Amino acid sequence: MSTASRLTESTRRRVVITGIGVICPIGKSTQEFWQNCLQGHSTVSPIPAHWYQYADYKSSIWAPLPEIDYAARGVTRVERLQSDPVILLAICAAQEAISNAGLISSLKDKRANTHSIKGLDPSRTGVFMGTGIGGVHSCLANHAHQVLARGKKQLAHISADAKFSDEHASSINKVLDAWIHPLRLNPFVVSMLMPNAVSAILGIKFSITGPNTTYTQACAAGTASIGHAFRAIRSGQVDVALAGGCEYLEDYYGGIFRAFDAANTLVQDCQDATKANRPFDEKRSGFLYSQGGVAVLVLEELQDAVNRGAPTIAEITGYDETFDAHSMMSIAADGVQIERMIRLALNDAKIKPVHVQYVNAHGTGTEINDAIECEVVERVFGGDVLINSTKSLLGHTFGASGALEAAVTALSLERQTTHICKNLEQPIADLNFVRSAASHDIDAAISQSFAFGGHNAGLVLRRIRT
Amino acid sequence: MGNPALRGEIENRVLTVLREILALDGDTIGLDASIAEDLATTSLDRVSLFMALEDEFSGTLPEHEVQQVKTVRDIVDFIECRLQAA
Repeated sequence: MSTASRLTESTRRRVVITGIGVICPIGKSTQEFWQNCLQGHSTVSPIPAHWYQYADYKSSIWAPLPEIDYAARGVTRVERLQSDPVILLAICAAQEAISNAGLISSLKDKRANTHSIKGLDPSRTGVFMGTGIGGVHSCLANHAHQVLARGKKQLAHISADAKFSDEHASSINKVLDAWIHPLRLNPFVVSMLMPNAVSAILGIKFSITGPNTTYTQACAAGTASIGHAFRAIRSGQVDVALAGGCEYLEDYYGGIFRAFDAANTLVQDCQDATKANRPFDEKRSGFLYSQGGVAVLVLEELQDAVNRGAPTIAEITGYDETFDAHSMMSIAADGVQIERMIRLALNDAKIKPVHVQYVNAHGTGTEINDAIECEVVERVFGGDVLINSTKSLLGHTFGASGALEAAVTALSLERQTTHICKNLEQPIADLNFVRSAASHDIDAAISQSFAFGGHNAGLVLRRIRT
Repeated sequence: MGNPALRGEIENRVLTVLREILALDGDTIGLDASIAEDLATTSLDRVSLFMALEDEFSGTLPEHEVQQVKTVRDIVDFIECRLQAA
């Protein structure tokens, strides 16, 4: 079929999710992630002890990622040495998503470790990935080398020549040892830190030559990337897309964590780490900082997916986005642009609020965000719609969060089950929060994200109708 | 006088890294093979190769010294020299 004839059919093209790949604090695969969601499992730990050498913090916990054996997942030494962790996460999740979609990738170039995907037209396949900060881990690490490597050697020599007492020399060496940096500046650091690396690497890895774009709307990046992939397929620009979001938020010194901590965004009451993260609860005190995460979805035009016998998890039927034009760091108190975004997305999906049974909320656990989000949900949907926060389980993964939440929403539609809104004891609003993992009749759902800067984005998903 | 056992271990590890990084088959690399011509490497390949050797031997290989390395034997000599000096 020609591109022109596809475009004339644009109103009839439908978009389905056929594969999901996930790595996050509560799972190294989609299956593990979903099982832990249903069990209400969270992973919360004290922040790395060595971060206290550099600063004090108001928050003291985070949600660490599980250990990932990259070699076992086919990632080569060259890829590991030349990629930021956020890139490695994206590669692994994309591999899982492609496999779960029933697509077969075969080795194309052994040295480069690139693959091609059988049966796909690479020019009509796109990559749409989101990230908030891209390869900042690598930027900071290599900057530490730039700043510290020579100075440390000089200070060590000065200390040795000064013939300090053992006690003083030990104190100086302790400070020097705390100034961590890589052994060398990585010659590939530019391609490691650039935000577009997360989508570029997937295009290279899987030989995909269609549109390749990175969305960087902070915490809405994952939602926006999927939304734009959905639009690209529906309009006929492409037939298949890898779409999602990824983030890696650890650095040697805890500087990224400190930035969010200094802005009073992180969970403050950490006495009971297991209950500190409590979106939509009266005792909420901020969001749980996650080490990172990724979700990649395979999106396909419905008929193409059916023709090849692909699994169909859920349909994406609407997307829209608005901008607050209000503040870099807080959402507008009236929630007008969030409400407008939701209504636009529902219009795009050709449904009304009454048709929606489930809202996967942004639900960070910050005082203002949760309160405004509740008001908007009530204004649009009333009090009966199910509402929960996936961040109550895995913390906030920033640019990955929207994609992880879209994955949860799709799985909730497929399995007709929702996970719990964890640690919700005293809800801040009289809404229908999910209080236990249970079966529900869900035909339509919305997954919504808001971001620093003022970006609002929402995806409407539907149960597959057979 | 070199240490034959150490030399042999270094050779094996260098050849293993070369095969891994350049995706070469088992017996195709001779010690006198030229890295640029015989192994058909680009400048980026060579950067990748020396990063992998740094990773393998847990050290740094200064760029200005690496540029003098022409053959597989040069790599082995270079690493042996640095390990003995460490």
